[in-house]
Amino acid sequence: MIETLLWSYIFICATLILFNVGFMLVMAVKERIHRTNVKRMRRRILRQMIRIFRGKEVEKEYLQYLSTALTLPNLLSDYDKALEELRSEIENGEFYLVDFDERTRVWMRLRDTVEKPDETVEAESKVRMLLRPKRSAMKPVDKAIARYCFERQLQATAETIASLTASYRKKDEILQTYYAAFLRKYGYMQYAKPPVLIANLKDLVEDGGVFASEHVLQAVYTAKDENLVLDMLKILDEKDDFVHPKIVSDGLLSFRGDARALQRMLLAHRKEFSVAMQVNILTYLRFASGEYCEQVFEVLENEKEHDEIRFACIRYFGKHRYDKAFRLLADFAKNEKGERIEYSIVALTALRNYPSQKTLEILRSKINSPYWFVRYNAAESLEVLGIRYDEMAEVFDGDDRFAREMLQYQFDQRYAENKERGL
Amino acid sequence: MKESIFEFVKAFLNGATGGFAVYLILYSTFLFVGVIAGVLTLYYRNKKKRFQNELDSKYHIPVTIIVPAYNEEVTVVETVKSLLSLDYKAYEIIVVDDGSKDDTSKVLAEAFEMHAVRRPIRKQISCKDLEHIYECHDQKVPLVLIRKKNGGKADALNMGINAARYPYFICMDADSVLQADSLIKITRPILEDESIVAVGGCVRPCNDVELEGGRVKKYRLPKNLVACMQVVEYDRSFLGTRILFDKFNGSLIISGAFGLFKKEAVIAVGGYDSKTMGEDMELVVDLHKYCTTNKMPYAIKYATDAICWTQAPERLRDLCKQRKRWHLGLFQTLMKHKSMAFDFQSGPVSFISYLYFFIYEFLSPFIELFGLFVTILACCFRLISLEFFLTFTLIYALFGATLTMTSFFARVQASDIQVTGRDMWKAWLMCLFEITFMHFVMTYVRATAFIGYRKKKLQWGRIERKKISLK
Repeated sequence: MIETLLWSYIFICATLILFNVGFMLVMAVKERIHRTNVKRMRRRILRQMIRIFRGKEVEKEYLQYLSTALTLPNLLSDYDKALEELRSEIENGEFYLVDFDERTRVWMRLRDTVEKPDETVEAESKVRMLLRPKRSAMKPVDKAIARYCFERQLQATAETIASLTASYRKKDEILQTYYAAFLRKYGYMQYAKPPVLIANLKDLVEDGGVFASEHVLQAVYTAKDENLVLDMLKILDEKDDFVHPKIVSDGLLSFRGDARALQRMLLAHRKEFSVAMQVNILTYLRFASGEYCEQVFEVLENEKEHDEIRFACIRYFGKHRYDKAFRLLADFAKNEKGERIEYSIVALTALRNYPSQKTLEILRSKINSPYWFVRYNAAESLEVLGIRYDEMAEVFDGDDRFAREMLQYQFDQRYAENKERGL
Repeated sequence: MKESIFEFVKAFLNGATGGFAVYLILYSTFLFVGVIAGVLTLYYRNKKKRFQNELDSKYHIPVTIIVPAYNEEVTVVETVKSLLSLDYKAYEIIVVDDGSKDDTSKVLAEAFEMHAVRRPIRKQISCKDLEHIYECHDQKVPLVLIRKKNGGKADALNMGINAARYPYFICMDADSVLQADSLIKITRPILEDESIVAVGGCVRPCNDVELEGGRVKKYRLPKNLVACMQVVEYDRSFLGTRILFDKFNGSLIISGAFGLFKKEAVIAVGGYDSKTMGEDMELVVDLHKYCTTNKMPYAIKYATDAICWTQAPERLRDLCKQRKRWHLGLFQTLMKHKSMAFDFQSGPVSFISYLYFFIYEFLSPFIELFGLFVTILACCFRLISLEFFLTFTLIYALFGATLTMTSFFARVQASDIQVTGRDMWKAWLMCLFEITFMHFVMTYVRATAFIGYRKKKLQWGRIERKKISLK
């Protein structure tokens, strides 16, 4: 028995060693193939960009090639890498319409030039330069032109890329998510969004995990279609899965279409969402625009609304001043009894956006609150409103050590910040 | 009479060697399962990374980084500089000087032109009294220095938690460097799962590794033998057990060198226990107990790609001190929570994680020394042949070394690190060296950890500090 055990140990050792060596070899070969493929893909894209630069259309063979090759995830990944490299070169102002690594490309360029007699008669030196292009001898393409060529290339291939959805629909979630990430990265959906693609993406949000949802949402934001965003958010909301508020509220800021139309639509359909999603929408509106004070105020006034939704409204008015809301904010700030304490804490921060004698009075009265956060927020708001030391003498001379310390800290901070700024 | 004694000894030795063999078989099987699960997880995560199954790095959850420091004047400035260069927007840094006897506070306050403030701190967890607070706001993120009375690392962390403004905090060591993308990586699980109360980072020795702007410029195995041995040991430990435990929410340890916690949950369990040496493990076990007792949905995750580079001790003496301290900390935590051993309500964390730590971490030095002793005795009594003993030991060593090497390769692949052929051979030799020699040294050290236990209680673990060279 012991002998069997020892042999099995040896067997496991040998398989593990073989596995390690084999894995390393496979990885090395894969890496090599990947690098070669990226180069090839790059050349193909560049060729189309050169055509676009010359006012020609993208070749049909290229589109056919993409529609077949990119159904393979590894090739899609290589194509993605090639696009990424080119985009980075464009943004860094290092983009040339010549492939320095590839002699055949130079010939293509030369052949094309020869096809145009007026260009052929240009200086002999130029032809020589094209035969042996050197980075130092050439100027990078103007950023705006390069961007245009790149974007037009994406636009021309968008239908083909969108048609890949049928193939990726059948693959596992990781690859479906990757396809969505690819759509998002290059904004293909602004150029093509066939119904079948939309349907597949909706299914992916419904059945997929958080990565899938995030990539799909971001891809949809590039589609400039507020109705589609609304649909996707509803699907997401109906799922039981957790989606971090930041993914929705920060994500919505990336919407590339008519942001005002989206905001109005989200407000109009707000009630159709869960409390958490409503809070996300209000948070998005807070960061996006101050145009919705009236609508948000209506929500704030409604006592039947969920507390979290009303907190989001108070925060909205903390960022966007709306005089009509002041009375309500002041009432919230003053009342720290029982469950109202949270309203008071949030409102005390919002009040710093409403400088007035009344605000100062409320804040001063709250500096002696027994609640730490009430005291802290009141002191911080007083500091933001630029209250002077002598105006708070009562507190500094008083018996309430906690209030004194809280206020003193705010004054210390202001002093230090002014000193750092050299004021 | 003599014969019956001999028979008894024989029976005892037979039983003991048999028991020891079972122990080794179970351990190696567990390690094997752990390493394979770890390798598969890393490759799966690699595939997800390659196909961009990750959240965008633009979502930044605000976190407080707490750096407890005691006599860290040599390293603290570099550590804070490295923290200021992290690829993250929403964070603050709080350095807690636990009554250092050197110029830790002075050096830091001067380096960043910090000014004294009288900041009120809401003391939600008990800790020793505050002495001074310094702040500075002209850096990329707020930087706070708190000088307090000496109370130990746990006490310093508790002060940091009290002062933290954000809902999550990160604890780290003053001699460690966080990789530039580490905050993005360690906060990702929170974006994916709201029930997360803690996330463990991945700690790697940085001896002889060239770091530039928080990124690895050149990776090589340390020249120092003791440090080099720890590199492979860390790999095996992280891959062998932590990933496996992570699968069933059974992690019992989040390294004090790099971990993220939900402040609310930590306050609920009373913060770090300043009466134990293993405050990091203690906190995690407390969180498990608190959440299971209150029937709260919770998760404790391990972020394999959130990397913290730390200085591994280069002197054997320092390593022994560190390991003794860890072993005592383990003992204290296991004893404090002994009711967890068969508490089936807690799930696998009790009957797998707790028992694993009890048998294979805490008792292992005693069992192994005893096992070795009886095996040698059995050889002397010719109950087992010397040839068999040597073959068994050799194969066991080879098995251990192969598993360690597999962990090493998996980590190299998963971290996008380039390792030279020379380093690969070196790693192989280190694996063999670790399993055949260092393992026994450490076994002895851990077995004798209790000698002088009372005297060392609650002191800061000190190892020789070197300035981390960052570009």
